[in-house]
Amino acid sequence: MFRLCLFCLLSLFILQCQKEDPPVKKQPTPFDLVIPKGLPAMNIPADNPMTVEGVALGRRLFYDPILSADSTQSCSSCHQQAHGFVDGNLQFSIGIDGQPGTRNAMPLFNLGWQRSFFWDGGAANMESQVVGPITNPVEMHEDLPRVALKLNRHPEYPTLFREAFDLPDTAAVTIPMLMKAIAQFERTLISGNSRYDQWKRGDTQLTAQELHGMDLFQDFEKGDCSHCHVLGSTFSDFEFRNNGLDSIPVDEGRFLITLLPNDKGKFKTPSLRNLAYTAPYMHDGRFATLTEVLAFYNSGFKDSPTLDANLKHAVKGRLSPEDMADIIAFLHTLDDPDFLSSPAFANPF
Amino acid sequence: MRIKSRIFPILSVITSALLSTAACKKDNTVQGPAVAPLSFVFQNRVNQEPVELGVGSYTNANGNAFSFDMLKYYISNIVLVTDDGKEVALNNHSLIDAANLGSEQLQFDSIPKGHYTSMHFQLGIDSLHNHNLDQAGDLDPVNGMFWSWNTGYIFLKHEGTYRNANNEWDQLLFHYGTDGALTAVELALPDVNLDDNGKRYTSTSISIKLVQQSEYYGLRHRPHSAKRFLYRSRLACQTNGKRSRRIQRRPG
Repeated sequence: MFRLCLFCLLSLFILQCQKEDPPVKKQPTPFDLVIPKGLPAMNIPADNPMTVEGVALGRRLFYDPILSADSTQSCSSCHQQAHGFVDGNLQFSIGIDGQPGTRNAMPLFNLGWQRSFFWDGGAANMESQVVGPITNPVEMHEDLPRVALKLNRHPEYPTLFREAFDLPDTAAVTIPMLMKAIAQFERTLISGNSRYDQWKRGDTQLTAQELHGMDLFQDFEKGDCSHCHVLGSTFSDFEFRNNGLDSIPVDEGRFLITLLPNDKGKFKTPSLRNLAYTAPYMHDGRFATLTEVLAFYNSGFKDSPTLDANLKHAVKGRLSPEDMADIIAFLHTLDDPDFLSSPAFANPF
Repeated sequence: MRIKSRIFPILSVITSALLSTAACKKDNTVQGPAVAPLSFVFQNRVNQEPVELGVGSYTNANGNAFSFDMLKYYISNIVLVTDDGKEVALNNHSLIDAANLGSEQLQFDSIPKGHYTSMHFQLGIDSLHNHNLDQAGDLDPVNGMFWSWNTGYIFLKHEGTYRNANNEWDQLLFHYGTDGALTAVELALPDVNLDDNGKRYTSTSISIKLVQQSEYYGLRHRPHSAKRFLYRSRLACQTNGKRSRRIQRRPG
């Protein structure tokens, strides 16, 4: 009995000590986002400033299968760093229930310069995009109340969220916080150290073939790639265009979002960086190689009411096999192996 | 298989708002506070029948029978207007959920005293807030009132069953939204006077008709969207705590 009382007294004493001497709350540290030379400044939403803690939390969540219904898949299951954050060489990713999607997993880099997300731009901003794959039945197939429950019951996440968002000790993890954290991490996925970038900075030379390929890339009579894949930084205008894959599109793309007939068969222009790692190509991954892609733009594109104006006027067969090989050589100067091996983006577990 | 809009062209949700000032003390005659409490109770009805989740059966204008397993909607930007045209804004976005009785009453503790003759609000989410899911409170996506593949809020979600053309009960999924579907509601307040300290009580009812302009909006979209909504509906049945008698699930 005495011991018990002593124990109680001691406990009280310890509790009191804790009460009188609360731990000093650490403020989140602002994240210093380094933009490589040649890429523009990034707009960060005012209500989601990047912090070291937020980015680290987002990275952990990105790699944590806790976000899927059966804890078998994380974001990284279909967005693998070794492949420029696409899903291996798969045409369509397979969700937790074994069902395939209908579009090729998009590469994840230089996202902070995009204005909308998904191939059809259906997600209006990066934070809003986050809940798409988590809830999609053919992807992670999870329900958001369950996600919130799992995160709040987790031994570490509640603390990590409070640290990242400077919240009181009683604050619960919410879905908007999850969205913010993952978006913060995704904004750090910057690829800007390809040989092209190094050449632009005067740090390396490109070969004669690569330089000729760049000329053809910009030549309106030849490759005419740069109308949409704007040369220089992101290599995309991020507009929605019909590039002539089908005369009657199987997947109506942007039209499914806007319901405007003029948007039928339009998809967001993808970046051309890291193509060596992100095959297959197009929204439906129909082309396995860049040779197929070039052959398509040279002569395979099909007319339709919404075909992009630049292709409407393009002459079929305008590129020789050498021209196409040179353009491909130039495209490979946009590969950034450093991005694939950066430890900052790797699995933290 | 899709639910054809014809089958269910007009869902008439009658929402009656009971306005009542909480009883103020009568002896507090001279120097009463400049504010008074006010609450609204949303009562969901089809024609005159109260909506009951899981058990009720209703008939639309075409004579088709249907039921409710879920009824949730957003009431936004409630504004009271005084007799001299002064406006008092009460809320931003409130989610009313028929499965959650507490949510059907909107309570405002300190309304400036005045003689209010009309009010207006919106059913849905205004375009300023409709294109970003990173919002807390009633707009938190955890409430399930959103489309992730086409960023936006579901303004009204009615899930249940209906009797189809073969006279079989089939699943009904009515997800109503997009900017063009925002429905403005204005109504006159016959007798809401928060000037004196005596207890005032008045009631009025309004009818919000959701006509075919964007019926079954979500089902027209991605091939898997129907499945997605089916999945949501299943969850809804669980959270309601009431089992539907009649849901016939589509295979797969």
